[in-house]
Amino acid sequence: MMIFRIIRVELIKIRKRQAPWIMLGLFLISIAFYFLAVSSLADANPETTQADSMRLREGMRFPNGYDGLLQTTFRIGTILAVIFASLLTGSEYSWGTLRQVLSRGIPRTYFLVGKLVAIFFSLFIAMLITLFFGTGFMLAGDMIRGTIDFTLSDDFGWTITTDSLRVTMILIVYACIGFAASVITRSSAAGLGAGALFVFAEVLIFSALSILGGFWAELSHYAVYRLADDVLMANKFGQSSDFAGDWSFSPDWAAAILFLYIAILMVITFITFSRRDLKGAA
Amino acid sequence: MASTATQVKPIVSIRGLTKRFGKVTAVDQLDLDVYPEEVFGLLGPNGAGKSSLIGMILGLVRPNSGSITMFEIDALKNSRRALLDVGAIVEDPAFYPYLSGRDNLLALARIVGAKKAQCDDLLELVGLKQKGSQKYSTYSTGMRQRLGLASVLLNDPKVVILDEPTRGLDPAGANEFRDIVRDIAKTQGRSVLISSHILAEVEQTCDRVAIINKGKTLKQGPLEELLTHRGQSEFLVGDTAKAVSIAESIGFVAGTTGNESEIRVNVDVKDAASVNAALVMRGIDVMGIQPAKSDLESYFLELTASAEDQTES
Repeated sequence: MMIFRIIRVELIKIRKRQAPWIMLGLFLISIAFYFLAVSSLADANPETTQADSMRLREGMRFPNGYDGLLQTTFRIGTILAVIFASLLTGSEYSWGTLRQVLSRGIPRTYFLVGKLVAIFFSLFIAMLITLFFGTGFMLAGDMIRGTIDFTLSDDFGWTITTDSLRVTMILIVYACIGFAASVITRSSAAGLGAGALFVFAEVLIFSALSILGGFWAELSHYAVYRLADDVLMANKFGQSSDFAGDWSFSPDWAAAILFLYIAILMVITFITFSRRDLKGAA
Repeated sequence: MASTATQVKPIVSIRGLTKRFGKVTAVDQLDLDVYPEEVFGLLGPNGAGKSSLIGMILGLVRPNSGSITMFEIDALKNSRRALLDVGAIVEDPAFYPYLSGRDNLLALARIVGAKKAQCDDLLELVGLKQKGSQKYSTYSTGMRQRLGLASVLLNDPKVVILDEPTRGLDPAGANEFRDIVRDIAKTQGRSVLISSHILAEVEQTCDRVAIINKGKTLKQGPLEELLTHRGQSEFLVGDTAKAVSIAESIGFVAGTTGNESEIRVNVDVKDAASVNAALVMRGIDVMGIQPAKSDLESYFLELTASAEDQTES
């Protein structure tokens, strides 16, 4: 089937491109840096109390360290997901390869679906790689401290799976934003700019709104970053309560609203792409 | 060549095609037919509407009105089926710079469902077999065009569409590319639709030509027909100056051609006999008579100028 062939080619293209590997490498370095930073804070900072040191060390041990690992993945990964999706989509415009492929009678929706599925799959793989390396960092730290312990709770497998999938889902939401921005602006640079602006501007705008109180504060609950935090409350490291100290959506409701947002965004993106002339500005 | 055989059905048929970008009409009520196994040239200056027309044929640009039929399939309603047997380079060849030439070809082959082995054959055909593993970003313009041509031939298309294919090539490269294009049509039995603003290129490569300007077809037909039978005859004479004055004295406009041994008389071919008689009767040696052939450039300029005049009036 043509759609599967397109997905396969998209995955091959991602595998053979340097940029995704560089991004993943930088991300893994930042994860390693996180473990090192927390470790040095626990071990060397004179202002850290013994109780805090114990808590920090415990938080880095296997399997407790997954919370910190996933939280860091969420914080850094969202912007990387925007960059990744923007690059992958926008460069098809700047290189002219979009015209090349579509002039062979490939349906436009197939092309977009193929790219989206490849992006989602890549993020999933990136999450697996992150878990692999994160586990390595945790175990390495435990070995150095001589505190290695492989005792796991009964629900460990389920918990780590669902927690990772929730973070992957949030990364996919942000990748969709980068993807849509690139398709609509027809450029990786513009898409990247629009996606990144959204990520940063949204936080600033809705934080300002929440300060205004009343209706505006209520509105801030519907911001993507707030909803993402609400979803990750199920992972026990969401920060919704930190914003205004007021109510937040349940993780399920937040996920449903995010899904609705992305569905609307994708419909707009697909319609725009299907109706647009792919010449001149392309 | 099937061009003159009117009973042969066109493989691509365009009727009343119109495309407007805002207030600008890029293609205006354009009609066009491309027949099997011919090289068809779309000739027009920059901005004439050639690329927009090709974009519409390939489903990249949505026309405002008109129809495109390919292989008797309505290409506007079912572009996927209609384009199954079409290979094209739109504007410049476009590939992924981080992949090798071969990997680029393989990627496209996978999408269109072509066989992997065909990629190597095509790389050999366009002379890139040795450089196939090199990254596309390191390719010269000529190599990029060749790879573009190889990609076009994936899946054995019946129609090949090339938009300004020799743009950026040096004269030797352009000449070689034209030979390959003619080979594609003549020995491999494909139809080639080629757009160009280079008159010599069209003259050397194409069997039939459509001259378009400001989105309209000014003239369409076999190249030979366009360049001959245009109301002029050429007389090969001994004394050109005297021949000119005789021809003019009997009411025909005459002038010498470049080599000073021929005169060109503005008469229909059927009137050539009376001019010949007048010349012979007055002692001019007429060594030969033939329908005058103008070059495409002068014809093109003549056509576009008269179109400009009509627009202004």
